[in-house]
Amino acid sequence: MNTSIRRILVAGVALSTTIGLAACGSDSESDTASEPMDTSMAATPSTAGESMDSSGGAMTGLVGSGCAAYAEANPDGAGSVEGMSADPVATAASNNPMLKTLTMAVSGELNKKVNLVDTLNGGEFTVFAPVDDAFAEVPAKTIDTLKKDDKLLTQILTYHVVAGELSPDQVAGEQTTVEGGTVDVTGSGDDLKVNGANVVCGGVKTANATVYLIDQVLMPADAK
Amino acid sequence: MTKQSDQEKAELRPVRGALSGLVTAALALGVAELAAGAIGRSVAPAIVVGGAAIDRTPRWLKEFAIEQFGEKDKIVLLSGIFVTVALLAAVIGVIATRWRRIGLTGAACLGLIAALAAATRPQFEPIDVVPSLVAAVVAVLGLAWLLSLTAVGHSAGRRAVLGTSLLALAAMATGVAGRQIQNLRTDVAASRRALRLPRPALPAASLPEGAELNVPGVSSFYTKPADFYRVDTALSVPKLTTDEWKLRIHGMVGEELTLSFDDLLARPIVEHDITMTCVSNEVGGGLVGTARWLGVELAPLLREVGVDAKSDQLVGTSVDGMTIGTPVSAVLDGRSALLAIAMNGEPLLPEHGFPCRMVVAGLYGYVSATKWLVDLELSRFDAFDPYWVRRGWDQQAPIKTSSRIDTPRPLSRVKAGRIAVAGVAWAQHRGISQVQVRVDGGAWQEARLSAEVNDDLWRQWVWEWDAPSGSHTLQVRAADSSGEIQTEDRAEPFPNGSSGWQSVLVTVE
Repeated sequence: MNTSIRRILVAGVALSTTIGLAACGSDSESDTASEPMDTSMAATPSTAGESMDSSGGAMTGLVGSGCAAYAEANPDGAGSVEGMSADPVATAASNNPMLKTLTMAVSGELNKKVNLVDTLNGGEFTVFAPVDDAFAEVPAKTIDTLKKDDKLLTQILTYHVVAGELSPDQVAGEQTTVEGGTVDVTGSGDDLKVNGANVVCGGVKTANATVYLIDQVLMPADAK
Repeated sequence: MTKQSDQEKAELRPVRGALSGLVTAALALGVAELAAGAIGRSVAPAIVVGGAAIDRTPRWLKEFAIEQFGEKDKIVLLSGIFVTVALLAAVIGVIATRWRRIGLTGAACLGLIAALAAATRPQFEPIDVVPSLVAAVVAVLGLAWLLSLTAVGHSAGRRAVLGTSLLALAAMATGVAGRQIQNLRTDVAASRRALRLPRPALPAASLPEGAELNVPGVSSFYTKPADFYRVDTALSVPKLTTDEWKLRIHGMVGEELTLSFDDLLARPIVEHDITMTCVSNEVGGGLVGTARWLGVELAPLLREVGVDAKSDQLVGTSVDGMTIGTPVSAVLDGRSALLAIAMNGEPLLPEHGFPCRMVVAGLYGYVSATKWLVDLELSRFDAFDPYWVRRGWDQQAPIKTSSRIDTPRPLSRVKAGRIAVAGVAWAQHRGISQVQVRVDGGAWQEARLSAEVNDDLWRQWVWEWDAPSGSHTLQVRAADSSGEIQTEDRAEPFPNGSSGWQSVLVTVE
């Protein structure tokens, strides 16, 4: 009896190996079969490459103490970390519930002479994006000035942008902004600071830019 | 002793039966893989049953599956099929030890079901049933042989184990070999290398002088296939060889037609330069590109099959099930509408739809440019909503007149003095007649245009700017051949393409 069972077990192991191999061998070819994989992508025909990139890695590489809370408050949709990675930066910012004021400022809603949407969407940048709470601390008088002074608003906004995409491990140091002035990025990991402003959540990827949410509006030294 | 042994045998009979069924099924699948390899088509039983199952799965269930399993959904499905087959095979094996004929019939039925599944696939050819039928024969013979080994005699146990092990090894060997042969035979790269492009009966004219302005920083007139934008829903690039490719034209037609790739090549080959645009392109975006397309005119083909006068939508389906609907009137109105097999002198790249895709001038890709095209159905807009239309995008979407500043780059710093502001403008099937530029909201200035090649193509433009220092906003707009200026009204890509004048901030030092 024992031998019979053992023989059957041996045959069984040989068999399961065979089935295992057949299953593994099949999945590599399965996409040859006509399979309507047409429902799994984003709700807009965005570029496949971008969406594919975002599906795995968007959440990795983030720094800042506010990332977890942001991800929890925005688990999916266009304003989520993953959703933002599929859109160009100005579009992505407009879907972010913490960047309402900044979005108004760059899209001509604060000052109709200042519309940087195409500009910001059109190259590779690192953007320090002040959150709404940061704008709330700017004196009302200054905001009123910015509504009229398009040069000053443009100067302040471009002071928040650095050419080229800088990841969290590249961003530290003195960075020359597209405004011409420099910003000083200090610290590392979850404790990054930009000219003294705290990075709430940084390294957020959009289609064309890397974004660092910060808790203060940066002022260029020669702003007047 | 003998008595005890008999009793033992009776106890073990179901186990042996189940094992015989499993090993036989494994061998049948292995040999079928070999047969699929021999005919060079991906039609092994599990693959066709899986494909047929997906064909029949309701949309909500598909979406649920993709949500649950993501990209692993195919592996999950195939694993499910293998487990089901294993269970059925085991049950059949047990039944066969008692009712031999019923068991063997069951084994044959499994193979026949797979053959039926194969016959319902969109790419079906009669030879596709062969692997499944082979599996049926192997299953019957294998099971009968194993049963005969255990049926009688003193050393039945030993022989049964030897026989079972032997079949298991054979299953493994045939399965692996068959899989490898299929990988080789369905090698898209090899198929692409082997494709000799025919010479066009109607070659496109070479570019006239002045078609390119040669301003540094402006998009090159022809876009390299590797740089050409890619927007599709395929999670992995579908693999389709010229041998496997077939195009069925059916629906509201006089007579249905199926073309092989050789049939396609036997038709008059034409060449057209066409600029394509994706509906998702944002103002100033890069989802636009130009290529010289080689292929077969679609309009004569449709006239051959006889389009019903009531049919107003041509639905293209890709090998992975993507659907795209094009107005029949657009395809038949004399514009360039191709079944394209090559771009810029090379067979299509796999990610651009090898071996055959549709290209129609003047329409956004999501309503005209099916890749890996295998099926064209003459239908009606009120009868069928293709993929993107089901997601709220417009049924019909002609390309909007658009213009883009390529240089200087946004937020770049340039030296004061004479600067070339330049880019491209497109209004396919209408043509571009004018491009204007302005600085800081001032008066519009006329840009110089490149020579017009045909109205399906973009034109380059340049405007010389005496740039004073400071930060400046450049804006561009174009007019089509009717003189209509592109709208200033901003629109998001959804639901029928973006619009608005692009503006770019630069700093002049």
